[in-house]
Amino acid sequence: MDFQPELPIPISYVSGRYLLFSIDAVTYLRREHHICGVLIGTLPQIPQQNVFLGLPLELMPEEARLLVDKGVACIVDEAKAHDGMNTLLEEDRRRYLRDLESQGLHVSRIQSDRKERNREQTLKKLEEKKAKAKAKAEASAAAAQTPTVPEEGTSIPSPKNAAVVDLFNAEDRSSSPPTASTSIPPQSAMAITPATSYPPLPTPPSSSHLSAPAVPPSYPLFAHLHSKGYFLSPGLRFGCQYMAYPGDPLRFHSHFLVVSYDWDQNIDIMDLVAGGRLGTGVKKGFLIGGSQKGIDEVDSEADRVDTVRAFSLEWAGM
Amino acid sequence: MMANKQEATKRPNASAVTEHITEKDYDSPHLATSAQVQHNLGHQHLWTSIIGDIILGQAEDTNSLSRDPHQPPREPIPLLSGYPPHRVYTHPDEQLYMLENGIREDDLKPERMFVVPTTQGQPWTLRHMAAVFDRLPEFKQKAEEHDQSVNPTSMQLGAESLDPEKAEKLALYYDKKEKARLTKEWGAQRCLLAMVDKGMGGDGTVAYYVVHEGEVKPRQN
Repeated sequence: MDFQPELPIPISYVSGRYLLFSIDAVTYLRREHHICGVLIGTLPQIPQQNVFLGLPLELMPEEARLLVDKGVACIVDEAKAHDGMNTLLEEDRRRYLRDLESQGLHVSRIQSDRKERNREQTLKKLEEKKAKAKAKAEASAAAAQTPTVPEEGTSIPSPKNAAVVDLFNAEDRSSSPPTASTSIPPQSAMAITPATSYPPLPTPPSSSHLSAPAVPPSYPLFAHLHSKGYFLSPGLRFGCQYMAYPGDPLRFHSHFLVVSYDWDQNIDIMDLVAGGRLGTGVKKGFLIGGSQKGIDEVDSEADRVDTVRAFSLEWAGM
Repeated sequence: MMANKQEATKRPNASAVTEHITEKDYDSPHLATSAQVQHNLGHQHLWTSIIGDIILGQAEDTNSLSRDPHQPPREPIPLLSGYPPHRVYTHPDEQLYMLENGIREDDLKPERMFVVPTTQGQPWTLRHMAAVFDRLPEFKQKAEEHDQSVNPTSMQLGAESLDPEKAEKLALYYDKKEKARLTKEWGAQRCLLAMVDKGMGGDGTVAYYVVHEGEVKPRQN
């Protein structure tokens, strides 16, 4: 379950976006590094279905930067990394296809095993029911001491049960040969669509990694809150820069609407009222903050994160 | 003839708050705002023993870009402090503790609150905010000294009228509160941000917001 991907995890840089295509990487980053990102993948056939989205996962530049700075991830230029596709040898190609097929077989085997187990369980249940019905019938026969009544009692359920068992048997017959024999015909292999292309292609060398992503001025506050254990997500939907959750967003409501300011950037008092009011209206705090140092005053972003000061606002109710 | 007899139109008397402000004859607009907020606190919210303080502004000669981030801003920031008739803010964890131990808000001794008066359109930055919180401990001490000089026995008032069980509970609560102050589990320093609308049509409304230093989880209102 707790899959540990090989580090650093390659983040795909595609036309200005930071994307993750591996579900293992996505779950790992969420579990271990509190990075949630936003799922943006939809179904090609039904693109208007956007309530439940899937892979790929898009990361904010701040999230990508944080992971790169931590040494957990690296940025890979997807277009360049796929140049190697043309030079892939025929031999490699075939090996890759074989590999995919064996993966497909593995999946279908697991599936048929599960089916088999379910079937056995159902059969066992049916048998138990049958035995119970029989015992009941015998008991009632013994009590009534008339031979005609129990015959009727047992004759009604038995054909039904037989039919059900037959149905399962028929299925059993059709699918039992593949499970019995070790070689499964290739038709039954599940089609596998890999989400990542690094097994056929070599993992890009570290020299080809792109530099750490450029981040907006709000990055120090983002990193500061992240280091305090908050999960952060984009705040556009809520009228702020980030939403700060005290734990996984699937389990917690957010605590703060976050807006970052530079140390000497003018804050309109009315914005504080608006933010405080908005936050209080949805049972959240309005958090403002920023780094005391500008980017040109320090060597790295990490130095700025240490000097962040934050303030939370709530309506006083008076 | 008629015109001469008619009395010149008299301007209405200035409002109480305007009189209050003109009386003091401030040389800084920030202090006038402070006076208005003080008036509002005293007369609308019935706060008592209100005192003021001021964070002096820095001289203009320093280059604003290379300034030390801990330096206060150019403008002076006035501060106010007083006792509200009821508690203005209770941290959610503190509230839980009080509920578990059967302590009601009325049992507690009044708590001094600190207020930063501001007005719409005035320059306000994170530097201002930080300067306020850096100054608070000093102002707190000043306020305590003021309280003692005015009424040296005020802290002990009401303690005798309590039954011993409740008194013990309260003692435990104050112990816990002191510990929480050090660990910041019931929130760090906080103050009220008072905002006055002084623009066209400003109606004298003052909006109050609680500001905490650091990340303090919201109350579940």
